[in-house]
Amino acid sequence: MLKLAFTNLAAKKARTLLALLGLMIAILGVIGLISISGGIETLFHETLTKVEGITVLNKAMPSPVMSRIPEKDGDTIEREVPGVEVAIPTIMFPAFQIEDKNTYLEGRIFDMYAVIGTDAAKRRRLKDGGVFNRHLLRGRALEDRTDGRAEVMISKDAAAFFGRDVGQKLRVWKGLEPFELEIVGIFHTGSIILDRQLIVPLRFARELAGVREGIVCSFYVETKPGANPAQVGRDIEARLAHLDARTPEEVESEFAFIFRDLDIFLAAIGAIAILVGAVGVVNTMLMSVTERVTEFGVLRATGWTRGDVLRLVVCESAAIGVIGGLAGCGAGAAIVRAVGLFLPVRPVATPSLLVASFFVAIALGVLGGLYPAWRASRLDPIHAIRHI
Amino acid sequence: MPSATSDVNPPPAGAFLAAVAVGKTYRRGVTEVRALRGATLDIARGGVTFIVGPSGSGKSTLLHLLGALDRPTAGRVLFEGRDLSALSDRELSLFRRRHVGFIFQSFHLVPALTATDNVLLPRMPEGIRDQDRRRARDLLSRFGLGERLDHRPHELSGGESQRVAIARALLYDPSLVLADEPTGELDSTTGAEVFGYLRRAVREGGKTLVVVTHDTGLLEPGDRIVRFRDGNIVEDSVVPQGPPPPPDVAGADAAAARARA
Repeated sequence: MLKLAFTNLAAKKARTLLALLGLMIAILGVIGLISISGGIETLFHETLTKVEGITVLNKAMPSPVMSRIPEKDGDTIEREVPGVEVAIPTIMFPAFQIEDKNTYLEGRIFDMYAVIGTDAAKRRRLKDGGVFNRHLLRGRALEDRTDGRAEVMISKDAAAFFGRDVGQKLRVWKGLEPFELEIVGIFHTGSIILDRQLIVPLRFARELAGVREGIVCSFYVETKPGANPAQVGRDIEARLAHLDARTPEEVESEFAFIFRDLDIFLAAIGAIAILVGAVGVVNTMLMSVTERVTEFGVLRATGWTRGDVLRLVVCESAAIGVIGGLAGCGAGAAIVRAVGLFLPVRPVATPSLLVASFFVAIALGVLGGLYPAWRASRLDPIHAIRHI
Repeated sequence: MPSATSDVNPPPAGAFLAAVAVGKTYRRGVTEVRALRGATLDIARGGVTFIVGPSGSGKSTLLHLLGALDRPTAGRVLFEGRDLSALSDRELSLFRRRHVGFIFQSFHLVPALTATDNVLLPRMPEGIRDQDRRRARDLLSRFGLGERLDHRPHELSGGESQRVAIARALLYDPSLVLADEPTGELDSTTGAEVFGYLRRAVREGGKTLVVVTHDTGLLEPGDRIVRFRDGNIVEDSVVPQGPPPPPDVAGADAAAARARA
């Protein structure tokens, strides 16, 4: 019976191919969407695991960019909260205009840069000198005595994007006022968030962001070896009630919330793709069944039961599901890999995603074939034979 | 009404195949067509029965009822004394598979399958064994198609196609073979040749053959002729020994059939 099913499919090559294509594209879409979502999640996860420390900011503010807190809170944290190694004051300034580029309007979503003012001397107390120093490619880190000097560490990506290198100037605009920064070091962390940061001395960032003396945006707190970051975070919040201490786990769980919504959105698009694929299968099989009324009449006359006819048609559409699924998974894996070469996000088509998509394709084939198969099996053999 | 006559004509005990006061009414759009009006007919095991009559006289409908392809709306069809109307749709299908071979006017081969696979079609639901494949090839060889085993229908002539269809009907070695205008799409020479194959196979296998046809050139002495008109049997006779078939049978009907072909 399988042979007959395949022979029938092969007899109508163009139609079978179109149904296969429809199903393949649906599967491809699902794989693409899910792997891109997975890629974004992986990206954030990698970025956050690179950060490691606790971000301390004003409890009332959603982001360090908008947060303002007293700089002396850092001393309080370092002195009075057990398990704290260092609390680095940080001032953030979203750099909308760098050189001749409006990074928020002209660039892609991953080309938005922020100036990060930091305390170079305190950074030295970070484990391995902190994430930027650890990933320094060339040039040098910010120096202790350079606080206030107009110098900057930029990422390899930024160097490429703005066409600048160590020793050259980078112009950052605050409204209509240009600020010239000398590039002293190039780093590459591999995290698209960290690699979009321009690292400058704290005092320079203060001037750029217009933050008063004695005020900073946030603290970057690193814990002592053996300390429990979650406990340290709770202790900070207990000691200074106006602060919010976000551990990487907390930030990640916040992103997880966003990703849940993203996943629902992607699932909706994926469901539409699958629906379109299913409609294609149903349409193909209905056409095929309508055309082959006489054949079913003959099959019934030669002793095929209704169930036999049903099985034949379901076999045919299941075969479309299997082949379309294999093609969709193959093309999906290949395209996802190819797309990964051109995007900072690395979409990953995991084996479990491919296997799940394959089974979705088979299910689509079987379910899409059920109604046409039922129609075929209900045909009155007499009517079917006379239908010429 | 036909149901009343069923009491008058009880089924004869031991008949191989019997239609007892069968009626068949179906709808075509808003009109009701009474294709059969209480026909009663016994067919003995073995031998060839021709059902003749004008188009629309109910011949084909009776053939479908005898082959369990359709159910009568009145009366009963008995196969070896068993009432077929008591069977479920699935049981009827299995009955057809085991006991009935159908041959149609337009062959009705599956275009995508080879000659051998077309013969094997009735076997496909149960799975094809090597012995089935051998039997299919043997049948085709017996019908002079030994060189055509892997040809597809579009590569076969009409006569060859109908021989494939006959082989398909005989795959399960059924005791009853039903043919609906088997030569209707063939010229008279080819028709006679193809029907010769069928007649031989039926005679050798001791099968019972019922043929609906306009082609009275197929008749041989000893064949039974059942004539239909307006859904009822109007004549039941046996072709007498001696060469010329009855002139009224060989006349208008056959000429009309040839003219159509």
